[in-house]
Amino acid sequence: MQTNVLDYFEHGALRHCPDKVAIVDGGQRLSFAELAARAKRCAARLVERADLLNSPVAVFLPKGADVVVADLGIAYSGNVYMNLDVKLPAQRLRNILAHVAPHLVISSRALAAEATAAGAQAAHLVFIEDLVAEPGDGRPGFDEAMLAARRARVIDTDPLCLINTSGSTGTPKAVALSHRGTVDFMDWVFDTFAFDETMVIGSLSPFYFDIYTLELNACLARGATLVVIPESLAIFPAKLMAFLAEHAVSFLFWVPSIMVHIAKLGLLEAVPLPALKTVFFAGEVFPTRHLNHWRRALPGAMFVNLYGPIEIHVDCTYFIVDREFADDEPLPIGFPCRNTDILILDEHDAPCADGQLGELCVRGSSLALGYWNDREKTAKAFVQNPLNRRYPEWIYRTGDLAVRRANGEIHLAGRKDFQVKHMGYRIELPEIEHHVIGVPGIANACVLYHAGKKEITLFYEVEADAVEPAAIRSHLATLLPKYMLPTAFHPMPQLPRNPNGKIDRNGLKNTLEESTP
Amino acid sequence: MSVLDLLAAIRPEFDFRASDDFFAEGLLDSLDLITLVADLEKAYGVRIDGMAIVPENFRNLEAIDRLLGEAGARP
Repeated sequence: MQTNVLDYFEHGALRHCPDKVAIVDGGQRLSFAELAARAKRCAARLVERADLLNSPVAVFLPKGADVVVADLGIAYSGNVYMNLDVKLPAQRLRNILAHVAPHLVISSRALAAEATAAGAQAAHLVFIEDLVAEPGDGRPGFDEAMLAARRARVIDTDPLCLINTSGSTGTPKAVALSHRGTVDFMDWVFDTFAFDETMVIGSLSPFYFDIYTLELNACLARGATLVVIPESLAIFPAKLMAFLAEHAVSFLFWVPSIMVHIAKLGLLEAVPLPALKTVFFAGEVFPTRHLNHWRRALPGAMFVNLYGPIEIHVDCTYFIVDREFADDEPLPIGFPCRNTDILILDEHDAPCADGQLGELCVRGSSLALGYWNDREKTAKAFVQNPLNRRYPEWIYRTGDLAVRRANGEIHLAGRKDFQVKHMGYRIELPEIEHHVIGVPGIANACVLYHAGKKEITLFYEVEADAVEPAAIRSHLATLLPKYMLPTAFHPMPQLPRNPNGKIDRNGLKNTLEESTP
Repeated sequence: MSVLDLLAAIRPEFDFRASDDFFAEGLLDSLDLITLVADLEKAYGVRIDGMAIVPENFRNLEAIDRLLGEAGARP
């Protein structure tokens, strides 16, 4: 049985279609054979630098072919890749690097100053240009047997990658994902959907998201071509659509926000996409009105709603959209993927009856290994299955509320806590509050999310003089990614309180929803 | 509300009068553009065609004014 995701590559695309285009990134086209040669040279040099196994290596590069080369190089070296968002504020990157402590940071000469500002020390910084350079003596620059031997030392439950996600106490959490969980998920995907070498993937999602795991492995295993969508196009939906048509993209795995935007702008009618056959979406609710619009425009395409927090390998439930839903009728998240069980538990940890609301919990090999360097947070989120007292078995408590209907379909129904999904990004609102309170002159803060207007709304109390929204945003922009910055501001002489003295979040939420339709 | 006011409400930290290319200079990104289009449609009572949402029409204040004029805006 397969233990390492690299087996997908070695026994898949590399064996069956080495000369086919693996990645299209702007003007650059890499075949699978070229991708492998670069990745293996990269791996050999990483091993020369540090002979370690299962140790994290950060990748500080903009989205593109170089990130794929670096990730595969790290995996071939027997280590764990962590792709970073190069646009994060330096302070946040420093926090992540300090917390994860990677033994190397792969960047490029062009980004060296930014990498250094982000806390990458010179001793740990390596450049992709040097890692992939050909030796120039006609030799491959790596020892295939040495790499195979290292691969054999990595077992299936070892970590493959780390993905950072918002943490409520002000520092991101790094979720550790394994080879086993990735292989299990991908095998299920390959057995359930027709993925083959004719697939052209239109990759819009950042490579520090888990959507990339599916995109990458579809290429490695099945020989699909990954077309990197230039970031500048994502701003302009009409250009984005023209790009999809031009590249005959056949598969998308996107978050719904951009798809809703495209539907609203009437672009589905203006730009036909005859090649598009399969559309996966995840990360947030797809309003059925707009999903219906997509389905009508692409009657031959399959649409699949996937659900799964980052603590699960990619996703744990799926729903193949098999019928027309009334406008604003909720779309189910569907049924568990293979080797996954979904428990819906009530407040006493007893299983909910069909139709009863409870917390969605996941068990199975799809669970992440935990949070890197954080046993405490891991122990809180990954707990003993309360329905099993016979042997140790973890479940992941998602914090999502859900209902299972009599036909087995699962529906999401909000959150237990203050986590929200905004434009596909997962955000802990208390993390924003934590940083707002650090803005000079602010006494207290409450951050709420207006789902209808898709606005992160800040209610705040000042110490003495007024604090302008521009000053708050400027301060927060040095600490938080753009998508976490509040866009609506409500200064208040005093935030409303509950009888027990806590900020009255529900009261504020009602004010927010009443004030705007 | 003027176009400048709408832009200032979206990104209060920038001076949009001083920029000739909002995207190249990083003043606006995809989230902002979605907001801006919705705000312009509401404030000026126009419908901006999806195919018109291209960089040339949103690059700077002049370009947006021209687009609004072509869309028949009544400020």
